[in-house]
Amino acid sequence: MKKSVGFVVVAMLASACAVSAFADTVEVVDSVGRVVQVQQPVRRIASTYGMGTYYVYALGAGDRLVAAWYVGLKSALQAPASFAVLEPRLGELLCSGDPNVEDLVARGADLVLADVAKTAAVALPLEELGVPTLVLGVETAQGVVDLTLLLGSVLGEAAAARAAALVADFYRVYGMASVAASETPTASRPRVLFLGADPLRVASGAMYQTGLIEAAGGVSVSADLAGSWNAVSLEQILVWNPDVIVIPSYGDYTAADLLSNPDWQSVHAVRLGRVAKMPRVFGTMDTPLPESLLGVVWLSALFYPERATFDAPAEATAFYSAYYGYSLTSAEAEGFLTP
Amino acid sequence: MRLEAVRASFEYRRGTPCLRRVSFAVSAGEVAFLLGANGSGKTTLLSCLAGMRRPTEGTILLDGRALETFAPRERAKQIGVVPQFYEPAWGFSVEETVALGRAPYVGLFARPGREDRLAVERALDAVGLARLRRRPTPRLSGGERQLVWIARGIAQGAKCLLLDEPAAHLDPHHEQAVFAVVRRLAAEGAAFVVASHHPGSALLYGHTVTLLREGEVLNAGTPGEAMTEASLYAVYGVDFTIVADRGGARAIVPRLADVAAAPSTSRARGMEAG
Amino acid sequence: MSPRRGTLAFLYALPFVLLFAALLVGRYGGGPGDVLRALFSADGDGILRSVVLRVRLPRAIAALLVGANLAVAGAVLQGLFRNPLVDSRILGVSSGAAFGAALAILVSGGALAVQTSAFAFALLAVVLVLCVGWRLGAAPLVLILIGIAVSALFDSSLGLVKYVADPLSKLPSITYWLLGGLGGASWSNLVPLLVLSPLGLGFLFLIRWRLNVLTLGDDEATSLGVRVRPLRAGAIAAAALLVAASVAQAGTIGWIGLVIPHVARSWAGPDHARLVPASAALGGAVLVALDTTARTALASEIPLGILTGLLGVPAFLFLLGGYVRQKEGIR
Repeated sequence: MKKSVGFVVVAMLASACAVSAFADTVEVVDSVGRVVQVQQPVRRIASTYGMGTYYVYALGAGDRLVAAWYVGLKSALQAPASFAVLEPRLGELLCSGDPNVEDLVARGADLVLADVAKTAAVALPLEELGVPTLVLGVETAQGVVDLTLLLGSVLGEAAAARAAALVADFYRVYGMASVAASETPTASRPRVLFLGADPLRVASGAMYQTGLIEAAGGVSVSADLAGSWNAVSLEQILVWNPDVIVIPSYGDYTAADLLSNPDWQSVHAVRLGRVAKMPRVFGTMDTPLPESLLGVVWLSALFYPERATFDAPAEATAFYSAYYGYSLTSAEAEGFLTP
Repeated sequence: MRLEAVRASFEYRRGTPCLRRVSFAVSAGEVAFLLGANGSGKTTLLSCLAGMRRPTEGTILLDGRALETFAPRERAKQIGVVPQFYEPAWGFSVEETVALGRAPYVGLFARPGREDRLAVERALDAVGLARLRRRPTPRLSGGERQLVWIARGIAQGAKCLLLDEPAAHLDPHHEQAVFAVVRRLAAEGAAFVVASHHPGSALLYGHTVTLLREGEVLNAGTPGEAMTEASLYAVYGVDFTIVADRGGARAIVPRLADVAAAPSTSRARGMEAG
Repeated sequence: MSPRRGTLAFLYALPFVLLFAALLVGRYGGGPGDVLRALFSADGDGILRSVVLRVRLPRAIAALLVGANLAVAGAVLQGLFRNPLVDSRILGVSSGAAFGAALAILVSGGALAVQTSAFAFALLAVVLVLCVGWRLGAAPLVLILIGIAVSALFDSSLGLVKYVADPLSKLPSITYWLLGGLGGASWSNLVPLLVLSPLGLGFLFLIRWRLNVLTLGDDEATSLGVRVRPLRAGAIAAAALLVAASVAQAGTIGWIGLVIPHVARSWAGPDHARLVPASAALGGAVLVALDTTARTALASEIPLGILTGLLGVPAFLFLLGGYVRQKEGIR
């Protein structure tokens, strides 16, 4: 009798220890279905996922980065001025190319974010070394929400709170845009062309950009195209004859270039002057980043200027302040105005 | 016309002379044979006579004037080169190939005109190839191709043609055909220099023979004078038998060497016999 | 093997017929009747007229010129180097142009900068080859080998540029440029091609008979009184100019310079007096036809380099088969 009681006591003590031990670990499932135990607290983050890095900043954990890949930024020299304010340590953090596992370990990373499309190979060696690695990929608006919550859950309570707020903002913005758009029947919605890095390349139906356009109440003229970026002739653009043309922030040309080009004069959007280039502060608004909610804001203002659903500069100012801790300069805020 | 080399020397690299003070001449109506072993300087002498290489010493004279003073076009109108047999890269027709000989007469931006076409016709007739004018050259026999190049030289208006081993790839029938044309043209006033390996051909077709050994002229004169068993042995290191009859030398035939005999003894024997 | 007059007349007319046909065809609505109405009557569709004159016409002309340039350059280079496998890319021109374009794209130069840079580096490549080659006697084999070295130099430099290029905006632009296409052709950027093509084509057309002499090899050509080195350098320079201007406009397009001269030779014979114009006509016709297909078949553009490859590879194998059979037949 004494032996069995003793056994029960030991078992209860053991499970109590186990429970308290596991309270310091968060278990999550990453984008490829791996179950990963992440030791808390996470103090040194290495993000080899170019998009994931921006999420880390948005959740207030940017100061915990020890190495970072940034989508759209290959060297510190290319960074816009705003980056210097956001991340003073850019020079020592910025990495590009293929990640070096040993280097990541040397930096003492206790959480590594990997890109399912490019850097997933680091997951296996890092696992061997006991460094938790999340292999991530996001392509849809739902994916943005999921990734935000996922990262919020592993980066501590403050980050989790931020994540919840960000997701709430997401739903708010998408909801408002949807309501504004619903007033117009689909047939009368503005027909939109989303251009690429040069003016004769357009986004296909499967891309994130098309989702943004639809969320903001527009119709993408190039939705039939497959794959990713497609090259088209000017003639095809004339066939589509869009009402609005959007230029991404990474395009090497401006709205003025198209508006003044004699060959483009026959396009409806050019005649109406409804050609606009997306502003950019940190991340690009047309890729699956937290900023993409500003993408919906900006597009909605562009498509339905008369509805005044959003005050784009105000939304942008509030967003960057709340999530990046960054105050937009008045010039940057004005960049969010639409024609 | 007269084309001559006056004590011409040539070396490709310092210290390895290819020609040593060679004097040689050919005049209108003459078929001059150049005989020599491989590396004896035949081809180099031919190059110098053609104006392709300038002698390091001595000079080449064309009608008494130094060859290097001629502009390339002028020279091309006097001296033509008939190359050794080769496989042409493109299938030009006989007519087109002979027409290339008119290059010295055709302007930089021009094409052959009526005059040139007439010259081509005459050249084709001269070698007897008029009926083959549209045949692509790769489809000709070796002998016919040789005649095409001779015709090209004629179309050039060349008064002296330099032939580098023309019979090297020809069977006896074609060799005879080619040399028949050569003799006939010489009778009409052309001059020919023929580099060859065949003393027998020199005997049959040549008016003069020059023997070259290690870049120097060993012997020169009519075939009967220049080619003796001793001089031929000195040039080729092979014993020859000169078959003669009352009319003079008729044939020159190599004798089969005695394999067991040492080279030095053979040489001594040859000198004694000569 | 003398070509029939009828065949040649057809060949010389073909590119112009296809050019006209190209104006009548396109993604923008309306058939040939609408196009003619738009061009010649007052009540035609104004936008269609604009499309035909501002989009289709410059593009078709560019295709005609690029096709003619590459084919003539290929024919001339094959003759100069006495090598049927030579094509217009042999002297490092294409590699230099590709590097120049990629560099300009990398530093965010506009379309004009890309074109200029491509052209400049293409010429730099040829100048390098000719200068080093001239020192070493400018023999054809030497030039080919130096050309290979210079191409390799620019190819690896291109690799470096691609490595540092931003994968979001720059790298796709570079890749797209390398695939070749005339999508960006417009009157404003066509001027270099319009000026340089007649210069290069004109020069090679004028010396076309003399090029026959160069196919004999240096010694024989010299014996015929031709100044070989300057003539060869001039012909190479003209060919290089044509290729550089074409690549700067249209990116790297393969197979035209290699295959078209062979087809033209089988119709017009090896005499350059006929081969040069025949290559120009055939190259121009083929590229106009391919480019019209590239911009009309699908909503998105098919890169021109892909179409020329799809056509060029079977054509090359077919020609090779004929060549082998002919060789066997002779034996």
